[in-house]
Amino acid sequence: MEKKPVNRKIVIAVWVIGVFLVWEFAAFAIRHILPIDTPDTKLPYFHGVVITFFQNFMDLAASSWVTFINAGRGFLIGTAIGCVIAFLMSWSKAIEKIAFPYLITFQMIPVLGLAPIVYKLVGGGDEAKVAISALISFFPVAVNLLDGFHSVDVQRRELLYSYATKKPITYLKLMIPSALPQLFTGMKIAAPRTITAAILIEMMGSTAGIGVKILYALYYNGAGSLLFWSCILAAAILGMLSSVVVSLVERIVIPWEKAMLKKGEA
Amino acid sequence: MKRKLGRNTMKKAAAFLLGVTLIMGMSGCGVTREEDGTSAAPTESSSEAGDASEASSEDGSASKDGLIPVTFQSKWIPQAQFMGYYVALDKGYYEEEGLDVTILPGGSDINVPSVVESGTAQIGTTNLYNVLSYQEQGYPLTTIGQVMQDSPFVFVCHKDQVSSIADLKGKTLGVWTGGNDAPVRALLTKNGMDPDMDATLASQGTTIDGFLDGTFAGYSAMTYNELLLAYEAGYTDDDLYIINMEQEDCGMLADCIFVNSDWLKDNRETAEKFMRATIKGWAYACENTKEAADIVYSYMDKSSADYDHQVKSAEEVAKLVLPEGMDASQICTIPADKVQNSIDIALQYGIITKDTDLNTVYDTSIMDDITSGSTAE
Amino acid sequence: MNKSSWIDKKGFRIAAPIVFGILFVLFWQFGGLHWLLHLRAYDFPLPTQIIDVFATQYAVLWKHTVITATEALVGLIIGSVLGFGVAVLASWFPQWGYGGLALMSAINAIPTTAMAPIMNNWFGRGMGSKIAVVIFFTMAAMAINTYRGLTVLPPFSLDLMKSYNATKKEIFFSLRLPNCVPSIFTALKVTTTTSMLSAIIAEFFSSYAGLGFRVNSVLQEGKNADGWAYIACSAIVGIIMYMIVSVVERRVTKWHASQR
Repeated sequence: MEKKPVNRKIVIAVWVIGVFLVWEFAAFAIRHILPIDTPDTKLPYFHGVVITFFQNFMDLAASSWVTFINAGRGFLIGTAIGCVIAFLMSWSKAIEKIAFPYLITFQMIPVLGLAPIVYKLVGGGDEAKVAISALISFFPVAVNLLDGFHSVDVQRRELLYSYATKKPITYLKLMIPSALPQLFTGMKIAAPRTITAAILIEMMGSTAGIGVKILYALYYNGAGSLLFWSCILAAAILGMLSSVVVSLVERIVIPWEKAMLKKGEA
Repeated sequence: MKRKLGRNTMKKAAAFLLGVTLIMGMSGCGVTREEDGTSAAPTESSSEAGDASEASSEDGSASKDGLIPVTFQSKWIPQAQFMGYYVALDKGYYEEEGLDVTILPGGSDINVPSVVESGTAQIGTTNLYNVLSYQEQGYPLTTIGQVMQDSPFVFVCHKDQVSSIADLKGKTLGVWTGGNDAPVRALLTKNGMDPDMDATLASQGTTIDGFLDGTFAGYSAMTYNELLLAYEAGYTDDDLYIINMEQEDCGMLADCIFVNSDWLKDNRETAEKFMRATIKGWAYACENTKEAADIVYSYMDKSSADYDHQVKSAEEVAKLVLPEGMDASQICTIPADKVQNSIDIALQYGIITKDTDLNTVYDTSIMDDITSGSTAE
Repeated sequence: MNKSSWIDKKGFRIAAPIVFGILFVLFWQFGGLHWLLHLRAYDFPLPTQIIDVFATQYAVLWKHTVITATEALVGLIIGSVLGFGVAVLASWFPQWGYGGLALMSAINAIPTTAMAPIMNNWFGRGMGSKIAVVIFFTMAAMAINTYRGLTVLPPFSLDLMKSYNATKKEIFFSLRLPNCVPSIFTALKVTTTTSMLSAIIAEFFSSYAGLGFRVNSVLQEGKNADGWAYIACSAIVGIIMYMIVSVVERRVTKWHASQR
């Protein structure tokens, strides 16, 4: 009854081709079939975007690398903050009940409001970028890890309780390992967010990075331009890459997760 | 048993990987600076044009002995609008005055007054009416020079929808937020319309797409940029109805140079040196717009920016900085009557709520010293 | 693990954050926050200034809040449904569905500030384009979390079902679906906050009205009290949405470990 598993690479290839076809057709349709005015500002041809992307590849790659490094630093700090917060909230119910509403409130504050305060605290430039990236990305990590702690099988907790295990040991041996999968889910959601945050800040004023290229492209050529879309493609790839990196780390840290996943999928 | 061993090894591997990533991240710091330098500007003096003023102060003591580090916050990405500063930087005028200047590019939603006030940058440029608003809130800012002597603001409309000012009624109009809609509001009110009831003012963002796809009957533009973009998109004067805010007496003064008042008290000499070099840069740029465009272009992202556009832009900017009939020695001086006019319009349209005394807005002492002392070169 | 101390009492759950909040506001009002973060008076408003803005401009605040909240809510609902749908499809066709998830991740990775101009060109500059932006981002978070919920099952549960000779459909409705309910709520907790924020960031770019539109405007004029009043509005809406999700979660997932 077990079907032969289709190669993942083929799946992705099929999907990419599928998207390509749908996109090309849509771009064609709005120009020749549907009565839409100024189709050029709406959707450029996919092949046009791809060509422009490769024409500017070195440039885009260099800019993306800058953004990636900045975001990476923000991500590490953000994850650390998220872990600490989740840990504190799991350790003490009092802290959780008090802090949670404020955590959410904090997430609701747009970067524009935070930026002046952050600038005052850490000065401008790279440090501010890293700080703001961290602030934007810690929330998914905190929420997911906290849920991970909460979801630990009650029977297991009670077992350890019956052994009179001290709280720190319970955490070390049970809670943290069990919550790791959730932590990585959170990190996978946070990683692209950090990239987005870094790009956002680059768009506010910077000398390098993919965000700056996006701003230039937008300003001089509008949102339908091939370069703009190439930059977005680069940004999307960057975001996905960050998720992939997290997945790789996940596979090393919790190899048993993969086994469980396979079972659940079949 | 086997599983237990595996888990421990895995944990060690993970810790190792984390450590490596951290180190990569921190060493990436060094890479970023260099990359910033090479991708931003070719010239030596601006190789520190990274994002941190720390860069200029760190290197200021080592490689450029004796030069005072100054960080200047621009309000947008490098373009002909700021050619004076880039010319001064490129031709070494700042160095001649003993300054090591770093120009920080701006971007969307950057808050230049906030950056200058916080000390991240010492000097900045933004619209005068923007500074007025901050001054009212209590920010310690002082204008020390007025770069654009005339308002660059125009309102560009589709001629088939709007062929006279009265036609603006009931239309959707593109404006910039943050007080930059005041000239449009002034225009409507002056002509008997209520800006909130008789038209829809929508924020147009950083593109002119809204105008191109017909959403906006008219949009806000600067003579040196967005207007040129419309021409480049294929519009001709036959298709456009252009309202010049300056002519309609609704223009407010735009680009000015301002500083944190407290900083100014202790660093008056530095400010004066900066202004002197900047004026020299602007004077040169206005006389040699093509060369200025060349210099600015070298700082731009060439895959998006168009060289010819910058050349035309430079010509337009020169008209605003050195208008007909003004002598080059008067560049950046502060025209009291025009400032008063800007204050009046700002007051009327809610950018500021209380009348302001001219003398708290700007400090002419620096410009006076410069114009009375040395002759413009 | 059942320390039924005063901490678990319902009263504490509501009272503690409020008490903490009051203390924080007092700290803030008397300059504590400014001193802590080295801020000047004009950098950041005091609570009384913000309240003043509420008092004098509540009609305007309300109008813009409603607009943005509507954008966020509509986008959230549509996006969640779509995201859930994608995850379900991905779990039904585990080999091909993977591509759909990868697509979701790709969309999630596009910065909001880049999505906004595109959506503006597609759907105009009114509420439609903002809703579209919210949909895109909600979809991704919901899809990723739900997929995990549908596929990461308690060990041996799947084998148990198979030993009962359960059909794929039965497995789905009796095992996977209930199992993924907690994940749905985890996703909702994250997406409720991001929906408001996405709507606001989308408005930053080009819009007619809404909280983002106003925040952008007033902060650029240095009117920090006004700006933070608008930010406060968005925070309040976000908290209310979150609380609703929490309450519903508590009712629906009584059996899950996290609720004990």
